[in-house]
Amino acid sequence: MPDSGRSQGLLGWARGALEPAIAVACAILLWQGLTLVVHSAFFPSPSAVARTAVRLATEGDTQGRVLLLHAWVSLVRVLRGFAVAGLLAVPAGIVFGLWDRAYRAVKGLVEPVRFIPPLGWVPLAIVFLSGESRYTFLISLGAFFPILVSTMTGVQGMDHRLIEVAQVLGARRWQVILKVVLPAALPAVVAGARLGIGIGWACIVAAEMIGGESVGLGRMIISYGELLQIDAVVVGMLAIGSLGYALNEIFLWLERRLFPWRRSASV
Amino acid sequence: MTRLAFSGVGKTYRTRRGESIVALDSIGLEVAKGELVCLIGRSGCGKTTLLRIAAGLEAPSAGTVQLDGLPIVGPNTKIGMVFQEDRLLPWRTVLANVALGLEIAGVPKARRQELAEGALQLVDLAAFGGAYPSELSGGMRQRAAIARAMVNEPEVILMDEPFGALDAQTRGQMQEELLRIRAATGSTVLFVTHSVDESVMLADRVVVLSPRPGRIFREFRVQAPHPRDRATPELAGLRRAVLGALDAAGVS
Repeated sequence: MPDSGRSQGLLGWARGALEPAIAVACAILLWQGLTLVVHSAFFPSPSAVARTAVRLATEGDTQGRVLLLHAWVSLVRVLRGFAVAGLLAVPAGIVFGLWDRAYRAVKGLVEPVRFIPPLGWVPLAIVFLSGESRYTFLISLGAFFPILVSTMTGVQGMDHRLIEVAQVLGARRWQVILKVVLPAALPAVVAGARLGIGIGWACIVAAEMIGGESVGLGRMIISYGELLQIDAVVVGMLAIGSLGYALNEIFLWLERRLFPWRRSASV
Repeated sequence: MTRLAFSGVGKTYRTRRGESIVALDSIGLEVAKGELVCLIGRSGCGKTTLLRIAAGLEAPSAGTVQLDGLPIVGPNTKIGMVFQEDRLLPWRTVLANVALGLEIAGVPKARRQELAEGALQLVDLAAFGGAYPSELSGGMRQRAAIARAMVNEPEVILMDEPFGALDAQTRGQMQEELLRIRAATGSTVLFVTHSVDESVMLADRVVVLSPRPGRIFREFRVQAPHPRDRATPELAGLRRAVLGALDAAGVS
């Protein structure tokens, strides 16, 4: 049965990929068409961007660093920041979700901070932090709040009568959290993580703007922007966009795999 | 030999307006080892509260509950509970749901599997261990919930209208199943219901509670052997008597 399911899935996937592929092709055609009308050195055609992409991927940038290296460095930074955010936000979300009083106590502190964009923290990060810790800080800041809020909502929205089931079976508080609260909130946690990694990934340009180092997709965009080489900027933008898309897809796949008891994962 | 003893148990709730509501008032009840006692009363008479106090989920405002002479101060593995709703964990398979209590108790995995499968066999669900609760019917889910409560071999099982949500036919089957399980395990059972028929078919003793405040109004012993035939004059008379007591308790 898994075999037939896979081949069906593959066929289904091919069918499902057809329409998006057509949309992308249309967008590229439209873009190409526009470059025939708009004659500007700052409006590169898709073919120019593609050539630059190949050049950046094979020969690398002015310092000979290839696109994959930039992408890899950024990816590691985002994952590190995301891991820190998750390790802090999930326990905090569970505590705040279970004990309303704890959340009310810190609400006046947490909520305003939530609305300060990571970019607003850049000067402080420059002053107080150095090296990789700056990236970790800014990215985890961006990823923290979606995970926190989602975990909290998941815990608050779970069926609290299930907690008594474990209590009656003699569970201690940590067992109740581990065996009932966390699994019950897990779909919300993963959905929050998906949002969080998306925001963390979108923060990479802002974070890498400050770095002394010159590697990373965000850094690459800024450097080529300063050189007014828009085709290379667009390559960096497209790389960030498509890698973000891939990350999101991985999380969606995880959601489907982790929760077979749910009929379908939300998109 | 007394297994579960309520003495002078009372419960008073305070509403948001500050009024106090007496849910239970000086309940004295002794359940003997191996006995099946049905608590019956109108909704709001505090039956569920009494069970929750025995389960250690709520503290009484007055009096004590003792298990084998020791006061109950919190949830206790010697007392199992089956709730009105099955409350199965939807992310766990049926087998993993049944094994929950063993997991909490730190039983090794292989032994856990073995015991959980045995409990599933007891409730006729051996073939459904790998299914998720959402794939089961209401009756099957409630049977799984019973297996979950039984797997730790508690000395007392508290059941809060466990068959209330089932259709009449399934309900009858579940009652037979419960009696079969009790015969096999010798468990002591405190069973809350609002069905007179159910209480008379199951119980060794039917305890009628009066509503607001919940007090013990009358008790009936049921001596008929199992399996019981609801058509016998003895049971028909008992049903009338319990029904009469319920009416009288509601009026007084």
